[in-house]
Amino acid sequence: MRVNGIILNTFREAIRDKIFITIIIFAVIVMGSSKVVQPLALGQEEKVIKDIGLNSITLFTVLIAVLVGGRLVYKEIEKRTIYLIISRPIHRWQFIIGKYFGLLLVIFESLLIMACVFYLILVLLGITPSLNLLLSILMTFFELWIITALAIFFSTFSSPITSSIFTFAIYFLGHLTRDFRAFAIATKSPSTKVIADILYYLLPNLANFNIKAEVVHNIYLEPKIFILTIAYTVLYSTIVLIFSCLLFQKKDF
Amino acid sequence: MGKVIVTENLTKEYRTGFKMQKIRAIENLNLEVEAREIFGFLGPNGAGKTTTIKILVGLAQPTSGKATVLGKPCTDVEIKRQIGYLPESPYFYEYLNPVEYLKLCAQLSGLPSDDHAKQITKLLKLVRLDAFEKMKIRGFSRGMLQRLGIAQALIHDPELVILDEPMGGLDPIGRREFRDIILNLKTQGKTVFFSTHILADVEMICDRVGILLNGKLINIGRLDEILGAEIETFEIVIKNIDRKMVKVLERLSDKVIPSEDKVLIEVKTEEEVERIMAIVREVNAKLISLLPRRKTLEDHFMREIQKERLKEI
Amino acid sequence: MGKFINHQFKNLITRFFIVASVFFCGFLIWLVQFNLDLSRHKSFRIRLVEELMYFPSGKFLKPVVIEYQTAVADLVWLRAIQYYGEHLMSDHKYEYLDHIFDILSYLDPRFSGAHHFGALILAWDARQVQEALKLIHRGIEYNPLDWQLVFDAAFINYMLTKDYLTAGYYFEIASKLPETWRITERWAAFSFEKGGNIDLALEIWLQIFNNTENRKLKELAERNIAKLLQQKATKD
Repeated sequence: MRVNGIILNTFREAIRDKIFITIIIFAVIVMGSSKVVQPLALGQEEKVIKDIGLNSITLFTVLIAVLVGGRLVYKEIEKRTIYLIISRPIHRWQFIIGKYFGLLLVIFESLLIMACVFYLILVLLGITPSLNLLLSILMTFFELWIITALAIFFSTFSSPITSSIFTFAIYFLGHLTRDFRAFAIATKSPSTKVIADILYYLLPNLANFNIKAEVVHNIYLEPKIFILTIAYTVLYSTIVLIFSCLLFQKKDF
Repeated sequence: MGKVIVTENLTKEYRTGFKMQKIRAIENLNLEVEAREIFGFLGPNGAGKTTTIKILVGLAQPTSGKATVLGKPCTDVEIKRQIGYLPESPYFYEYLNPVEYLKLCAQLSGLPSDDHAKQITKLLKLVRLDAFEKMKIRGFSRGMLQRLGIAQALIHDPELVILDEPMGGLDPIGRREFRDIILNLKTQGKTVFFSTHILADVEMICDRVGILLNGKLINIGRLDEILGAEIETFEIVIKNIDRKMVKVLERLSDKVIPSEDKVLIEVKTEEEVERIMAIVREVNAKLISLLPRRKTLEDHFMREIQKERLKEI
Repeated sequence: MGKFINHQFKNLITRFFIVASVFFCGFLIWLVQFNLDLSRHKSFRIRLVEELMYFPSGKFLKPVVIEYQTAVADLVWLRAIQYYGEHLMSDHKYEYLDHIFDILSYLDPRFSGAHHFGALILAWDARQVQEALKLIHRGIEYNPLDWQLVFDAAFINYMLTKDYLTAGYYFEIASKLPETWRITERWAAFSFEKGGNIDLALEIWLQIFNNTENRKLKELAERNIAKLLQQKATKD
């Protein structure tokens, strides 16, 4: 399939990009530094090291999605490299899909690297590397499906900085809608409740993906949660990608 | 095979600036390009050449009108398999080397993967980049980029090659090679459509030309049809002639340009040529050259532009 | 081609020097900052404490740090230990300890270790028993199966507020939770006895007597039951 070419090229571009390498190195450093806090944690080192690992994996992959994804499409337009792609027998939607899965591949790869480093650190520090933690990393991966789709959506029409800011803002708000809705119900004002409900269903509900505390504290999670979350991810990213393709379809270069 | 490119009343408007003002880039363009010809698309900068080409290769959508390529509407994705396109000052993925890049292009164009390696080697040789296979495109010079541009346009062996200002950025040797490549494409039975604002290129290789000005096609046809076949002037260069005789010559022609030991004389008719030749023989001067000159494309071009400007006033 | 390789090589060396000098500058900055901190050691520590004053409330901090709550909780945890250690070594004033653990409890309510440690130092070192109990109650709410927290609640009630009945009640719960200390059950009985509820104390000793195979423990239970029955008789 011709989309493979675009996927592979996006992957290659990111791998050869300095931002990507820098972020990965940074993540490894941060995870490695969790050893430093070991003597300070007063008996809680296991929890602290697991937290630092899981949180930095999420933070740095979100950064990759936002920073690399935010300029993915726009850079091609600005540098006019897209001329030589779109002028070939490729549908425009194939280009967007290719970019999307290319970046997902990059993110999958970074998650893999970071997870390996994380587990290695756990083993080296003599902490039982429970498989539970992988569930949280998996959830982060699904969260990134949505964030990547959003980054590409913004990237089709705005500059890298603007789309990174937009994506990050939605990422932030996406984690707040649940709190906001709870707050709105507490205020008992019908208009606030309507607004909160709209935001709750319109923005991606990213709090769904945060099971870090649960896995670190070994709390049982129903399998149903995972199935529903995956369904949510697929549906939400599909919608965002459809909008991106529609915007991109009518664009003049 | 008949017509390769046909446009009917093709119009493109852009909205630009804060007020979204309409700007008409091309207006009711009717263009026909025959199979197996080299078609030169001429016009000054900003005439709408690039816009037309972008519509043909699917980078832009027309506001109104129709464009067909090889009998199919240009919005048809599959028809692009038969089109090779080189944009004006092309940009490539800098982090790739030419082999990786051409492989990507071949893959995207739907070339069977068995043919990739063979085709890439052939084209790199053709554009003389075979020595730089391992170098990242980031380090390429302007001329190398342009040559890589040709290679990527031909990688999938297309029927129609559309080139936007292909000679830009090339040195004289590069231009020469480029002309050979284009002529070679013609002998292979391909159609070449290229835009330029450099007239010398067109005069040497084009079968037909179209002249675009302010988004309108003002002339289309064979070069000799447009320029007319008749000889306009004769240019004579002579040597070893003294100052006094120059004065005599000046009476015979309006244009006598002496330089060091040579003199250039321009006359309109054959009789005048005879008269000057007589003088040359008489004073034992030496004839260096005698050139009949046709109207040049440049003259024509300038005249057409002038006409358009007058119309506007 | 040779020229090209040479060029690349030079490029590499230049890059290496740039990177090296950046690292060197970074090292210098660290050195300077380290010395600055040394020379202003005291004020640096004071600043740290002042900073804590401006720590926003947990309710506010929690949404702001979105999905990174647990990691931020860990940072607060490290700070809390530092804060405690600092004042333990100096003035024994723990003004903001309660605030810090309040934040912690909001950010990571399942962090039982923090609730446990926080409640104990709040109760014993800072002498803020009510705050300690509040913290431990929130800990229990989110970690209902953690016997240690329930035990802490009992212990604080027993030792500091001298509310023996409440303490007994908590000891009793703690004794039923997984991985608990076996001695908890006996402490529940002692607490009820001390609080004056002899019936409950008796019941627990009976439970111990029935459920154990340990000979010594059976004897202990027997002795206590006998003692309690006697007490009951004299009371009646």
